[in-house]
Amino acid sequence: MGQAQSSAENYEKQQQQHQQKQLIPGLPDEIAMDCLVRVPHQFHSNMKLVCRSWRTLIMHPSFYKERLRSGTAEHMVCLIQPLPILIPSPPQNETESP
Amino acid sequence: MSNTSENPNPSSSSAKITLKTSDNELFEVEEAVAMKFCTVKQYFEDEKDNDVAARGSSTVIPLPNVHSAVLARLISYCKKLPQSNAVADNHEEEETKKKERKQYGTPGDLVDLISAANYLDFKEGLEFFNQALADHIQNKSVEYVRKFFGIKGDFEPHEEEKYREEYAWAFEGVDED
Repeated sequence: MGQAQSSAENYEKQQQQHQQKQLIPGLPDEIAMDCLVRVPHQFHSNMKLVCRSWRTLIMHPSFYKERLRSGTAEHMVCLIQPLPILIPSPPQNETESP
Repeated sequence: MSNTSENPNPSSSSAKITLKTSDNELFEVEEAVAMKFCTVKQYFEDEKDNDVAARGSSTVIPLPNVHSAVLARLISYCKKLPQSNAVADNHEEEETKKKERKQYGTPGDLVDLISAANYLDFKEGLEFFNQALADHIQNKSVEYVRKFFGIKGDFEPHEEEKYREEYAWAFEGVDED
């Protein structure tokens, strides 16, 4: 009887630990993945801070591939502007001229 | 209050199927609705093969992983399905759909609905509720997401601070809740 109880407790503990390891507690990971790939890219930086497993998932190339596959990936335009360097650089001996 | 779902169109005499939930509630639903759940459909077809279909609606299909409260919501969603499943082709429609998805409550409710839809192999429902869950993550603070999904932040304090600084701009303008 006592043993049965402790094994039931163990089972519950294991379930809890298992849930902690899931991306979204209570959902199978492949379903959680399907939810997460639907969130637009602009919110990913925020999602990366939720926990380690989300961070690893979102930064992994397979996450982007999954977004492509499910048609949730978005087109993006990036503008890159160089900033003037304000720190004086040490005098250089080599110049660009040959 | 009865849990038996009522037929909105009394003149139709479509067959009914009885579903039994984990808390032993019986739901009598139209065959067309029940067949959206592939798990039920499969069960029903297997029964047919076993030649028990002659019993017709007296067959009770047990759903040991689905609670009555969840099943009731899934069935009501199912009934609205034809109009809500149209592909949104413009912004306005997308907004309407978003509002519709918002009606399905907190992330906790959605997790239950998604689990049930997954168990029942109810594809349209799964897609709809997954999107509803994704809507919930958008524009929310890290704390909100952790709290509502019961996720523990497992970064070291210095790590978290570093990552937050990286994306300080990203935390401007998130919703309060």
